[in-house]
Amino acid sequence: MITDKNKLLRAIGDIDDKYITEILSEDAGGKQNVVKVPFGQRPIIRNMKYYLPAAAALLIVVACIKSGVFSGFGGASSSGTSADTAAPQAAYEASPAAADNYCDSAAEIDYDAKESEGMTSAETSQGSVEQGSVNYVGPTLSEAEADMINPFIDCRNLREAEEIAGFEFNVPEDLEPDLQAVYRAIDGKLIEVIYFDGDEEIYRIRKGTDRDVSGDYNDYSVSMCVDSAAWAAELKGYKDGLTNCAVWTDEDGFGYSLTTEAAPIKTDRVIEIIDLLMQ
Amino acid sequence: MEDSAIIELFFARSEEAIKETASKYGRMLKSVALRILRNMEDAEEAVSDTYMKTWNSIPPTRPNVFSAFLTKITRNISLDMLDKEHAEKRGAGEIPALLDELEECIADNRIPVPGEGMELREILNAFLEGEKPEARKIFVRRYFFGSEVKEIAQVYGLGESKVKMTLARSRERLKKCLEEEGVTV
Repeated sequence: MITDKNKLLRAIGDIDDKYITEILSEDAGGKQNVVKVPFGQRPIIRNMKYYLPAAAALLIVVACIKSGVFSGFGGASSSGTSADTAAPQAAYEASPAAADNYCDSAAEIDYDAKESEGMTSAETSQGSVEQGSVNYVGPTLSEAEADMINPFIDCRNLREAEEIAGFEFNVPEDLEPDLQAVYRAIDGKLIEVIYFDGDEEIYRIRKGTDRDVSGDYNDYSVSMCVDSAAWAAELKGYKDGLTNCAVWTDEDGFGYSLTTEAAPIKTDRVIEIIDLLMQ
Repeated sequence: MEDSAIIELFFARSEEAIKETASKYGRMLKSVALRILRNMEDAEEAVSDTYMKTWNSIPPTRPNVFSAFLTKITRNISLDMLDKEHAEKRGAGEIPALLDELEECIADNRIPVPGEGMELREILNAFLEGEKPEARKIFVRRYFFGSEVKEIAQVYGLGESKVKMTLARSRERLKKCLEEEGVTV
């Protein structure tokens, strides 16, 4: 007799092994696939905010072309009326083009993935042996499913993250006294600290075993190299004096990054942060 | 080392069995414990206790799926640890939230189940078998592994609201399933 929710929770602990191995196998497969696109969910999520407006803009342009708005500068008022009525149909007709555009974007992401494949396949061939032997009988993951696996482990503090990652990350405790820090790690590969102001993410810093751990594939218009006695970083953004992404390495081969989710950070502050991290 | 070979080491009462188990599954088990306990020291203790319990269980038990066998032990030990006062003081991770959610399945908080625990296990397995793969995996991640909704959403590339909705519908189906199998709510 179940008398409370605790017993139901306990009973769930006795479910058939195949449902447990289904998840364990998924996570094991995910490790192999996630490293194929290093820290790979964020680029897709990030770039979606550019792809979707771009696709919408393309639809509008195609609708305008089809309705004759761009056919000449005369008769603007009648063209405008025509565009209004033709837009839904044009948008419908234009959808394959939009789809092609999206596929191109996806192909870019895939290309990025393939760039890193050589490196990661060597790592997975070494690291996946133990996971691969999980005695799993069931449906295999599609590549798309596997790419969605999240390898991050939430941690309570930096020490836990360091333990999971297997290396140290010198993040001063007072780096951002007014922000809340969230710590995460990928087993043997990466430490991430995300700074929030309330619900808003301000920026995140990473240290990992790859040279570029940013996971940021945006094409920035401004790029500069900053050297100091102890480090050299590439800072990228869309405006002079403001940085969206910084990437650098240390002499031991670890990669570091600082990325912003929303507003960029003043470049001077980014340099200051890098200095503090590399002390 | 293959699971079967590790199990043979347990049968031979070789301490290498624990060493090999730790080497192969230590991190995975710590991750399972961490999700429940949210405390590294407690998680390490849970994993150590898992090795001890496994040592005491094999022989005579011969697990069919060693990884699942270990995971279940770690989960149970972690839940036991939450009952201890010091663990509760540190916070019980996702467990209070899980319990609140599961309460929906048992309505008035008292479900008479015919038979013993084995029958409930069969009901749960039948319920999981009937779930679509995505809903089943989300359910198991949430209520077996104790993963946060946010984490599950990230794993499957879904929105948190979608995960919450999927879980709510699963709980509703589980409730019906319990009722249909003679569980009076």
